[in-house]
Amino acid sequence: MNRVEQIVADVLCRTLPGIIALLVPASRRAEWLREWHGELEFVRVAAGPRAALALCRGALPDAMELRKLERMQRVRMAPVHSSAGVCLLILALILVAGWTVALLSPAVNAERHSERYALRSDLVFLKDAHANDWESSVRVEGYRLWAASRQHFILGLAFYSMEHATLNGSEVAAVHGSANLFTLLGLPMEIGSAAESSQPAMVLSDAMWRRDFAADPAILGREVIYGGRPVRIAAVLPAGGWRLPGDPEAWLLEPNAALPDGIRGSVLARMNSEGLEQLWHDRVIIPAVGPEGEAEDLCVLSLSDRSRGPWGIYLLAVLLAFLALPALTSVALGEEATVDAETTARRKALRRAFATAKLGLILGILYVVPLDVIYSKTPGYQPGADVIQLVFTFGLGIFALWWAVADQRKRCPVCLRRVAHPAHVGIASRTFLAWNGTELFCAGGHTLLEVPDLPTSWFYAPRWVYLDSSWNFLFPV
Amino acid sequence: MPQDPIPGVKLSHTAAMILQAIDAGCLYGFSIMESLGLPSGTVYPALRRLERDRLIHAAWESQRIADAEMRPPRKYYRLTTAGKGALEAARRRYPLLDRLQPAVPSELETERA
Repeated sequence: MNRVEQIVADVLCRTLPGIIALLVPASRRAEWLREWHGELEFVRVAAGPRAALALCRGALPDAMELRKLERMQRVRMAPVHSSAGVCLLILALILVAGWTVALLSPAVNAERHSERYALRSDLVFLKDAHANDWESSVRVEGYRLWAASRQHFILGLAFYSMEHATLNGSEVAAVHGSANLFTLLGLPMEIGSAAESSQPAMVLSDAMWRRDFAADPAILGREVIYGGRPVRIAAVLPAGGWRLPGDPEAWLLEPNAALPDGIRGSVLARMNSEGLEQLWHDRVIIPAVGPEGEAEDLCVLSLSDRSRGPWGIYLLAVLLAFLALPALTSVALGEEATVDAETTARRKALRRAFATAKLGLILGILYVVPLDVIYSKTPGYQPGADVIQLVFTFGLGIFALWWAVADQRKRCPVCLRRVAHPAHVGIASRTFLAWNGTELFCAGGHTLLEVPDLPTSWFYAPRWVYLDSSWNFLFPV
Repeated sequence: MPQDPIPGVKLSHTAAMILQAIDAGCLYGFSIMESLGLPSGTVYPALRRLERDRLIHAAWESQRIADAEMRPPRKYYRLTTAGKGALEAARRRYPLLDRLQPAVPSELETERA
């Protein structure tokens, strides 16, 4: 080995261990480096720089082995899920997965954007007060009479009836309604030109347009055969646009006079402000005159509770969950028990930031996951979906908030790890002499959490005990 | 937290050879490499695992000796009681292990003295 090679080998032997030492866990780095310097110096003197360089090759596997052993040790000591970062990561992954499903599901998307199709607050149903089946309780003749006469509290009336008929040879569930049905509902659609043509106007659902007409963009104005007669397609209703009961795939709209005699259906009414003031209750009975001049009682059903939309339902469910939480568990986060000289302002801020982030992620999950579950298998709005969303969000919210509070109370004030390894301490019969309860420890060796089994005047709430350096031998870091 | 040594632990052949070498008087990493002909990348990681399993115990050489020889102190390894038991078990498992008599460098004898 020439002089240059010797110098290079010498330099490498002196510098490489220092660089490789960065891989060694910090707690063992100094000792590791000391051992390797001792070995290399001995070999360099005894056998020369080349032998020392050969020995130096083992430093990297050695450092990696120490790193691996340290990681195994940490895993044994602290379950992965106890880390605050992992906790937030898992919640974030659930939220991202929920949003991904929501973005990929047309029904969920439609429901999320359903506010634009929300029913107006001044809409009501009119039904025969004595009929059990409110969806087909009104005869079209009665509707025609009311629509033609001057109404004191009503700005407009529309009629629709559910029916099954063939469309281009296949049977579909459809609505047969008056021409002003969508106008009265306030749906942002232009069907005037087709409706005014000689043929009845047909509106297709988004699902049917995609399924049976291959999402043809030039479908408007096309003639199709519905129930044996030609009709003209006037519009396609976006998914989630129909907010009334039933799941029709097509809507046949005709002038009042063209509606077939004898059919029964539902009557929608748009009330004026004076009429709305009279609706002091969701269900009001008003007298009316039937087509043959007979007296009829009409029941007015408010639709306002149907137009809340997923966001409104979500807010209501979350509010209810927050209100119900104190009935299930104490809402104290145990912050007062963490007051200690060792709990610096920075640690307290971190603890609050963690709680806030956790709550934010949970609130996001509460919005999106129920929508995924309810709407992923339905084509669009379902009459019972609002109730299901309310119950589901409330139930999930109660559980998630309870978990968030319980989890926060068990987070070490120093490192935010969740305390684990519960051990029972003391004897119940000596409650008034010494405490008895459960003791949990932070895997980082910072704290013990003591939870009394039987609260006493001198020890009634869980408390944190900060561990001093005498405990370090149990928690090698 | 160190693990308790496992009674009747089954050592790998390499680990058994290293225990045998330490028992024969090779007390630090380089001497074990020299005597067994194993590379440093095998010997040192194996020493870490044996130390973790409490089969060997490491101690620093006296600073006085190191100063006298004008070099940094070295780390010496010795078998623990559990290590001796594990070596006995390994000898029964690997009968040829007994025939392995690692060559202890004469200089090392001096060091030990």
